[in-house]
Amino acid sequence: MTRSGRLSLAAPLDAPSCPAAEIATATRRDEARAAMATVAALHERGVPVRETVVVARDLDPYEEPLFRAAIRYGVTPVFWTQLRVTRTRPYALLDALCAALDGERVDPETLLRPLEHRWAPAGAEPPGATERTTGAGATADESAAVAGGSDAEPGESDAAPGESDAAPGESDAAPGGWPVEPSTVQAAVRSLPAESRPIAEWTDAVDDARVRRYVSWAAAHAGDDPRPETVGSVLGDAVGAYRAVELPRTNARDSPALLETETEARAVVRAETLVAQVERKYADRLSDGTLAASWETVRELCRLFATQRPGRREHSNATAVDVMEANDVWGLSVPYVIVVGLVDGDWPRATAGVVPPELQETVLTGDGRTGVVAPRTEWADGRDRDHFADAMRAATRGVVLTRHRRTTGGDERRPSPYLAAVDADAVTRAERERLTGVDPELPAPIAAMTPGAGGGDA
Amino acid sequence: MSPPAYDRLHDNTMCPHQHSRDDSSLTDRLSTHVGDESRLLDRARRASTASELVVAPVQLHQRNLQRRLREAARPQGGFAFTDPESIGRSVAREAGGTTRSLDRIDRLALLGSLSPSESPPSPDDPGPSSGDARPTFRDRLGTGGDAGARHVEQVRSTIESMTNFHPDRIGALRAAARERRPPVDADAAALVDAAVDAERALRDRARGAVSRVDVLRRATRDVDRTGGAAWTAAYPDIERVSIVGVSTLSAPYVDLVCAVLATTTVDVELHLRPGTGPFLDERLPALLAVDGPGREVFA
Repeated sequence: MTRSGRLSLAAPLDAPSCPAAEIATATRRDEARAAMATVAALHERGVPVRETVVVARDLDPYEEPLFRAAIRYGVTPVFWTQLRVTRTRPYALLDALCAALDGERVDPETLLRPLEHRWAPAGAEPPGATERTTGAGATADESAAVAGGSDAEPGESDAAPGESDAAPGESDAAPGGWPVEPSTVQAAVRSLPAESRPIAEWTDAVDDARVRRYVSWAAAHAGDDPRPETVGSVLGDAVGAYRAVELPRTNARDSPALLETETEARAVVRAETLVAQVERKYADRLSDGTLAASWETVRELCRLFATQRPGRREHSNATAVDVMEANDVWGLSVPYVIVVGLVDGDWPRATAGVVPPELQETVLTGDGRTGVVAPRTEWADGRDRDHFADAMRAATRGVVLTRHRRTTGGDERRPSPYLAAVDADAVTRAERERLTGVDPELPAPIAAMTPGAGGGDA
Repeated sequence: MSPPAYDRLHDNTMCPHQHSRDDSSLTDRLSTHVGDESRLLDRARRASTASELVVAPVQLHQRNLQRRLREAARPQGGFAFTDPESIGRSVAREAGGTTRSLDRIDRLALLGSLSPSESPPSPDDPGPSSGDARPTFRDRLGTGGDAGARHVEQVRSTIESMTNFHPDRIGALRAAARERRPPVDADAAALVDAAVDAERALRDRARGAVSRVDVLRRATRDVDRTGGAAWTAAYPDIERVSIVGVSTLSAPYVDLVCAVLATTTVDVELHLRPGTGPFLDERLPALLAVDGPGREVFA
């Protein structure tokens, strides 16, 4: 490849076609305040909230400060998360259950998939249940409780579903307990013919008593036209049993830092909220007549809600400001884009890949035979570049670029190199202070982006 | 340097840039554009059947485009929105192949269960055969648990995105590895080995495909080997495929484009982005120069 071709990955990006302003603050928290104050001040000037969008390369460190800042300035934020929830096991369990229960006939793999995702009957207890209240088990419950607290958004979430009841005398009599081991499930799948049958016809074909119990349960709840209450109890019980049985197991085999337990506990809490939301939405849509009653519909709803924060409505909320990650701004066209986190080391940020840098370089250049090997442009910050370019291109009236100058530990943060391509007007310190004060006032460079002069009410 | 594929007289289709010079109609049907999505949006037409397949790997990009069209009150009937993995499933379904695949959680679980420190397998689950994997693969798995499995899965999927496990690409990557100075040469070779071994181990244990990329790869082979019939069965009305929102051209996607261009009359528009577009545009011809898209090193 030509030298210029390879170097194009490091060339400065095109400047936005609309005016740009830059705000540099001391800390990330100050930055979040400046961003939300700008949204509020633009709104004061008559710009509808849906005409602004806040973009971060990575929402994780920004979500909480942006949320707090939004509340402070009376803005309702809507966070667009990535599809991370769908990568968790509790969600996979819900998805697999909907697939297994849908329609009249099912093949063995689809039917038994929920077992692979650790389905257990309501009231099941893990082996050694009496030890749950001491040591490892207790910690798992604690993490779940903590996770539940921090995930609930004020005033927005539905009533939390109750804990699953561990009814005595309902624990399985068969040896092995719950959940069923993957090898048993896989063996069961392999032993059955690969064809679709009504669930009831599979019951007798299965050997393992626990698998058979699951299949009978599934047969009782499957089919067309599930009622919302059925959906709620089937999915709710499954998550409850997961919490009771699987979470302690994760906890027991986790490292001392309990990172996996915490993640899984959060996933369980999310799943519980999701079930409540899905049941309600499903009931609404059924009574509207806008949805067909089926487990496939329920599955779609699960997928939809899984990509949103608890409490977010499905349609874009005209009075809430969208906060998203840079990958998601592609293709949008919004008058005002506020880009946060333009700090070297955050955006761009080097990703830890597995391919040695020397080999990366060879594949990027692709001379000779290596030309057929597909390079990953993220090796040269490709994605970060594109995301920055997308944020610039999305804006039609103006771009506000923010960054912070130091970490909480006092280390210096330098501006992102991408800023070099943008001829931005710097917001002065005095302007910034007036912006983030009690009554947000738009800095001159940003005010200049709005249509018309003067600050009359909209 | 011309690859050996030039001299072969097989049925295997070759990708557009290697066909004889008279057959320029193939390269004419592939166009690249950088930062020019409005070109696509301007084509919005009222239609009862979609004739343009808009392929957006990122789901949210699909929704963004649809939102753009809605806000501009433009009709969407002419477009069908999808992603590459769904294309794989659609083609596979029509061709009678499997559409089921493991997901990442499944793969991690399977890889994790291969650790040498696990207790002896039960009679129901034969476990790995003795001649299964070279030492490096096992080493990477470590002492079991998620961390080792996650690492191996990352290696597998990285090499897959670079090569689609095509023999020519795997060969080229191994050759490139050999040319590096120690210890990078050994590290790089071990990387490729581990990826191939991991994929093989998953293939042996999975019922159906190893991943959605695997389904796509099979579909690509179907398109290639049926002379395009597998594509037309799944997408009879599609005249153009527009790929949007990509920052990188992974080998699986390249192979799909290759197969479609070589065996059908469909136009392909590649919409690249300003940050990476110029680079990918220049790299594209070499990437397409592959014989038998979808072919695997395991066969």
